[in-house]
Amino acid sequence: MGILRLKCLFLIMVVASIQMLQPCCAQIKEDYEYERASLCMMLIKHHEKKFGNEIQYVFSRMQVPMRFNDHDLGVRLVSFASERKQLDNIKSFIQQVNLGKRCISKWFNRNKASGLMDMELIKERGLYNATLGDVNVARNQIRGLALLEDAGEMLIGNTYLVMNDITYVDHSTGWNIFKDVINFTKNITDIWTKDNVSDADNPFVNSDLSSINATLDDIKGFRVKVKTYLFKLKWNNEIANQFYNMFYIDSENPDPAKFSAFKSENELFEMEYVGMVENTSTKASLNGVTTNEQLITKVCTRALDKNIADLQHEFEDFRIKAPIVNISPIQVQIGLKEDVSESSRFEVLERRIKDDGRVEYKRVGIVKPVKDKIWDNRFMSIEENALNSNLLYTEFVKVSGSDFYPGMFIREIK
Amino acid sequence: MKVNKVLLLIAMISFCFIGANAQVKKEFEGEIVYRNFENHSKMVRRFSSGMAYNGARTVRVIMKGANMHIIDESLQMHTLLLPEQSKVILYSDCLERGMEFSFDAYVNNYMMSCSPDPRYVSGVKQENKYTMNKVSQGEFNGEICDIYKVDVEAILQAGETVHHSELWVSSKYDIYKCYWYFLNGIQAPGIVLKRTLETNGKVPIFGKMNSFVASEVQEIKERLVSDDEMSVPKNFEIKVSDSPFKVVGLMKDTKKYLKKKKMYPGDAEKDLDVTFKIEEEWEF
Repeated sequence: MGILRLKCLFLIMVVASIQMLQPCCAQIKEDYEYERASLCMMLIKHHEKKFGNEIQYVFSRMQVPMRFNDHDLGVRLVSFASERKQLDNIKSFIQQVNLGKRCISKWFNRNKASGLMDMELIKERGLYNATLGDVNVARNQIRGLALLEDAGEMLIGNTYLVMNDITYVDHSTGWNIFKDVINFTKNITDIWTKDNVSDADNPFVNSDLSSINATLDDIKGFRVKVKTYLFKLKWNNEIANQFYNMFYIDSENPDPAKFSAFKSENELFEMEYVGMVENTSTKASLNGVTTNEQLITKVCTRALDKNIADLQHEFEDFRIKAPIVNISPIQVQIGLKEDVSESSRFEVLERRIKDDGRVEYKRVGIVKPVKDKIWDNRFMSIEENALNSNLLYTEFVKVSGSDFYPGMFIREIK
Repeated sequence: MKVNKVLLLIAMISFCFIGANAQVKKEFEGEIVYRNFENHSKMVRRFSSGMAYNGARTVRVIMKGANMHIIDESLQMHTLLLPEQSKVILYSDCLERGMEFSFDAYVNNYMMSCSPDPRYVSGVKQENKYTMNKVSQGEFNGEICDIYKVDVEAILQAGETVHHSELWVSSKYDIYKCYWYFLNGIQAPGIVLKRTLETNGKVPIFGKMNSFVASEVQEIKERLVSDDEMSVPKNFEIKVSDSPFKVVGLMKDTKKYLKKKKMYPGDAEKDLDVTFKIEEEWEF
């Protein structure tokens, strides 16, 4: 009974949303937001590595990249005792903490104490309008069911864990060894002479860069290596049915047995490994940067954005679709942050609702960016006065196809 | 005259109050079990003769009067601190043997690295810069704790070391000072329910030696501790040594034994669940 009611409610919301989904041209923003994947971003914390605390500090204040929903679960930092095989570490961590189940719990806003769930987040991210709930459910049932499946795939099945491993690229090793030798010699001398020479007298002591108190000039060469591991929440009809039948409870249908069943479930909700990308940041410009924190934030944010962009190049499932906002010329709000370059190619997609209610995307053409018209939307590019940072859009030209209109999407092709 | 009587009354009430407090709070006798998350740099692991490894460690601390018995259940190593007998005994369950050292020599070398008190190591006076501040209060396992931040800077001949520690201290029990040795000399005013210790050191030429240990109480059991629990098993061979540095041999042999039996926790990590640590709370 509860499940039926739940499905009906969901159907009402989904079916009602048809009205919102069909007129694509008029609803660029909504459609575009509807397409968002949900990201849970985490960082592997290194206690023993240089700048580990600073990197952790700036990461914990970073926002999830634009065009993604924030699927934060409360825990953003994890340390591993042994760092020999990080991929194995992450897989074990995901399993031990049942991360897939936590992602599902967030989707259904599960109350930790009572176990009660609701559909608020799905409504919010799916842009379903509950006030249109008096739509005739029966009449639209076939379409509704199909849309329910679509919504599952588009929303819940588009949930990712992005686990970042950021380490400082230390170029000072050679110098430190040299300095160590000098200091070692000094220490031996000290033992014999009892000469009390303060470290503060050493003019090279700051080149050690051991703390964030180092001057900005000291850390201008700050660079990081970022490995980003991508995992996707496994969600299909079978899992969805099991979830709704065995675990879903809400305030109208509280069921202690289902509450306990969900609590003890630790196999159904899996995170599947998609892949990994690795990059080393380029040397950051100091233009517009006035503090160490800004510089480290800038370097880390840009490096992470680059990895997210690379993951999108690499894995089709993870690619975002961005809406065309103007057609004369063709303008889209993506740029260098998404790693758009002169050689990039994008397919133009038209969104269509099939007879059975499913959403499909049809390629209607191909576009490419215009040279010198690529928007520099990287972190702090405006403060840096970077070329094209004030464009707000990247301009594209048609390679093939016709009849493009605002509201169509573009998605990168290889 | 009246004034004297009032003062006497105040003094008597004060004594009663102090006495009542002393009755409520008594020195802890029993056992505390800690579970550690440990992450040490390669250099620390190499220099520790097997005592430092990356992974989880279970440590049981038994306290009776001024004496303390620390049992490293992961390495099956025991440390008996017997200040009244002026000795420290270390022994291994695996090897069924151990070593005995002078109390002062052993604790000064190995168990006071974070202490504010000056100490002599190999005849050289060592003194740390030590600050300990109560920063806030927090709840751990339903108990209100005072949270302290401790910063220690040690300038040694061999290099410099900085320790940062956060302690969640319960004031439910008083403790004997011997417990501070378990905390590397940090002078906590009660039983520590949760702590982190971050150590960043540097040894010339060899490089950096960094460690991070996070520890949480699993169990506190207040009970009477028998004298047997503060002594070495009868069939174990204990060798008396005049140099605390000779403990290294015992540690190396223990590691070798555990490795041979495939029981060394640093290796076991490969097959078991990965040890991880999170400091935030899951919202879902």
